[in-house]
Amino acid sequence: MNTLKSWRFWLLNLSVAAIAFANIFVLSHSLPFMGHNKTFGINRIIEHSQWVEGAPVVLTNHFATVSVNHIGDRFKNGFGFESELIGIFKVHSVNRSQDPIDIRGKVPLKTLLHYRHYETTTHCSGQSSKYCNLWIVWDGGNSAPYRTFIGTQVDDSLLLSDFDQPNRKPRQVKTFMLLDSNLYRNLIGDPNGN
Amino acid sequence: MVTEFAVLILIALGGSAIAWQLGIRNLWLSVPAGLMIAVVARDFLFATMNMVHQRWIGAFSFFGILALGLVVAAWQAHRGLYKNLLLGTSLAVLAVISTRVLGFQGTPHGDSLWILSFAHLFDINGNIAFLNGHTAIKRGFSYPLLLSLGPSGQFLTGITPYIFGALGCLVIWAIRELVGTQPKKRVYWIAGLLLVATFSTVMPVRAIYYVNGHTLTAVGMLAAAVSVVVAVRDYHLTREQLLVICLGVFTASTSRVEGIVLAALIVLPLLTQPWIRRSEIAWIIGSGTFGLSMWLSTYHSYIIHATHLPWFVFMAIFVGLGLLPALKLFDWIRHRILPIALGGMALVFVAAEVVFHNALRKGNQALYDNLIGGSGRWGWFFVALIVVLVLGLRKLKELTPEHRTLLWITSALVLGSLIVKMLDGGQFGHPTLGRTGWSDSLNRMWLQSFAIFLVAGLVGLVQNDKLWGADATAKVTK
Repeated sequence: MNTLKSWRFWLLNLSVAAIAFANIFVLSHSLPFMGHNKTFGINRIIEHSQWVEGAPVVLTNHFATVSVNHIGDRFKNGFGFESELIGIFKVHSVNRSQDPIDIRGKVPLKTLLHYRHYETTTHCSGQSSKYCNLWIVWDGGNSAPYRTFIGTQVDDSLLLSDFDQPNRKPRQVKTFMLLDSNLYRNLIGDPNGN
Repeated sequence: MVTEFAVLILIALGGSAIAWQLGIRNLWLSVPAGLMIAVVARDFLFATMNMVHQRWIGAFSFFGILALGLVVAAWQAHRGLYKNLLLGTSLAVLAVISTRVLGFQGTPHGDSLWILSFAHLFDINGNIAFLNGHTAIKRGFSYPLLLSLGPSGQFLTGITPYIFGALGCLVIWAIRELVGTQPKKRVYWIAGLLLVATFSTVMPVRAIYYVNGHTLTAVGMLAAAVSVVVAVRDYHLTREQLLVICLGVFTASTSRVEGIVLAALIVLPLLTQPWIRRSEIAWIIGSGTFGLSMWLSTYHSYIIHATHLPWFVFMAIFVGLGLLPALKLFDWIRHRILPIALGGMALVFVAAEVVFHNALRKGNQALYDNLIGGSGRWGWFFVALIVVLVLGLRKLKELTPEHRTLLWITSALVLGSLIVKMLDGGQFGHPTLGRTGWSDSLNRMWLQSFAIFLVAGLVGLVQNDKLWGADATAKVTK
């Protein structure tokens, strides 16, 4: 038996060597995992990951009791706010019966952005994408642990998740906002007055 | 961090100790067997306590059983057990250090966050009805239950690398069982080559910390596959092998919804044997049907609701139907099912490709992009695998029983995964074969089978004398 004279043996070794070389040096690859993580709490992990479904978790991370209304239907004029996560993370109440309030032109975007604490994406029935942007806006100076958030629609903006894809030109998409009802009253007026 | 060390070490020690008590004493099998025993205990206790709305007792009784198993085994085994316990503890400690001290964590992915959300619900003993009717069934039962054993508000970060470690132990056990009598130089050389081909790609390394049930499913599948192959080779199913197969089938069937299908394909070569006892067939199939129906009865019961049956009647019918192949009436078909099953799956796949060629065009392209083009982060792993499997091939008559069985299982798993994906996509219209990118579910599904493919390749290469420059015919004649 002379292994070194076997063409099969050499074909195998050369193939594996070439494939390993290509895997490491030629083909594009991303990091298999990440290091230096110090966040182990499930709520915080979800908040940090800018998850498309994460809005209910972010709200309950910051406030003891949260109610949300004007969500609408994500397949029509509204946006996604996952029912399982509402239950798991104990959002107090959610009312989807009314569409988000259109506040475009009623208040300068710059004023609202001043109070923006979180931005992510959400599911919706947009024209250029099935995702829309979602901002969560509240007054950090108000310490009340019980909050009601109102779904609103503001001016379109560039889709956040497109910035993670280097070769993709960011698309202009609908932008929704979960706006703290106290801030809504202060900046716009009575939400039931429209 | 202390809680995490304590919990994972208890799982490692208790699991290995109970495995020892049950007769599973091989060093490399002890860790994965212990893990699978922990899965069975956790699932069963949680499901039972859920019936009386006392889920919190499930975790306490789980730890109690593991501790009791450890004490009893340590009392009876004296010194014989310590190597197994040492291996389990080492893996558990390394796993926790890597996540809690070095801070390694999996690639962010929506499915991982869903699974963590379930783990949070189980951790706070929340109302499981929240998941019913809404949550995708493919996210599994066993894995989130294990994750929820972590410190309050957190998850058991070390369990994911520990599961990968258990898979590594299984591969070593498989090599020793299947080619242990072959020249060591051959085994080491091929194992080294396959190690390079595997870990030069991203996906197998990603599986170490990726939060999803794929690796746990892989543990169940590989454990069952190797035991099946050894039993078929030896014309005999030992009690230890039967136990490992049952544990593997249960683990695979409760970790991912496609697990029961893939597990069924894996055990098929054993179930077709004329010498297998009917009670053994019943135990093996029952492990899968009981596990899955327990999961469905605990949550995801909208499937049961669709049948308008009480959960226990559904469970009885489902488990009962699974026992039918053990009847003498079905012996004729049972003994001939292997070529029929493989041919049938090939036919279904080809027919779907012809009938739905427009709908599947995008999926075929995605399959190519993911497995050959590099988009799936598998590099050229599958090209290497094809080279390895082809070079290991010989004439059908020259194949050893273990190699032949592994090749059948490999082919069945490839076709089975493709068809399962088609059916999954078919729920929403035409069948699909996924999309380009590592996070496509079919692309991740290969994580469940890749270890079996590697073992099949390794056995073929090590056993093929032509590869090593020897004349096989001459050797047989002598």
